[in-house]
Amino acid sequence: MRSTLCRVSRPLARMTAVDREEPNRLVGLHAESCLRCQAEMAIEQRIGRALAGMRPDLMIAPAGLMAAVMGSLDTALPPPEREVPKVAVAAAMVGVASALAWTLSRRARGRA
Amino acid sequence: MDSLSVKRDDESQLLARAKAGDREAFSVLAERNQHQVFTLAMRLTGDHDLAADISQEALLRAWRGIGSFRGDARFSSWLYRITVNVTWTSLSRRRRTRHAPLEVVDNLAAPPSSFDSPELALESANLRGRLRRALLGLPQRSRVVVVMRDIYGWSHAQIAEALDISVSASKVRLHRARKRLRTVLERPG
Repeated sequence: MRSTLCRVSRPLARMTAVDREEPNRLVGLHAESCLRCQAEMAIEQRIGRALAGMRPDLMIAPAGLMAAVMGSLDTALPPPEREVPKVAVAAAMVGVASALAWTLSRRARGRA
Repeated sequence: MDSLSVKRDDESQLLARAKAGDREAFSVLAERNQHQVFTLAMRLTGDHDLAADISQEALLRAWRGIGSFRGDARFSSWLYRITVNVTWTSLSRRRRTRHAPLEVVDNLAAPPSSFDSPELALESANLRGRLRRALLGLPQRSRVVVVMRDIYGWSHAQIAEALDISVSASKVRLHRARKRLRTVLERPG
């Protein structure tokens, strides 16, 4: 009975260790008293920690990388989208408003 | 003000200038992040030349798209996402299944471990060395998921979005890959 439970529980225990999640209640209860499941989880946690520990290991980029990037910026690429300056937006709005006011005033004069 | 916040302030100023089209500012940002971008590309491809091409393309795409960078994530995280996209496109295009020579990745300059005991540090360094080699033996579609999830700490949702796959597919790939890694690690030698 115990070994059947363990066969079911062990892959689940392993999966929760890979996913870095808490095991569900039944698996957790079983794993508390099962050295095999505990060992299974411990191995996966150790691999997970070792993988996470690789992150700061840096490889040095090839010496010409930056020159190649900057060279391409100068020749082949459009500049990034520039933000429209606020002054230009304000000027455009004033222009539209003036045109509208002028049209309305002409219509009013025409009717009169 | 600590050095980290000084660096962040400096970064946001550089970003604002780069967004306005200042190439010098972008060059500083790119130079600061080039090794991280290259390291990620190397981890994903295992191929030095391909990683260099990917890094160049990723930095160029960053320049082209910097106007759309909203700043709600760190600039380096945004660059990582671009690098993953470029790598994925490049790998899909090439449909490569072969992997780079292992010694390329073994040239990593591993920093000292933070473990207290020298024995544990040695054991951990040994495990990391074996993991690096084992990672290169994985199929690329699985390797990308392990690298992003286990080394860079991305969520499955982020991986799924970057690779245009479902969250469940990302999880399945991770589990398969970790199983394979374990099999390789359990082999003697």
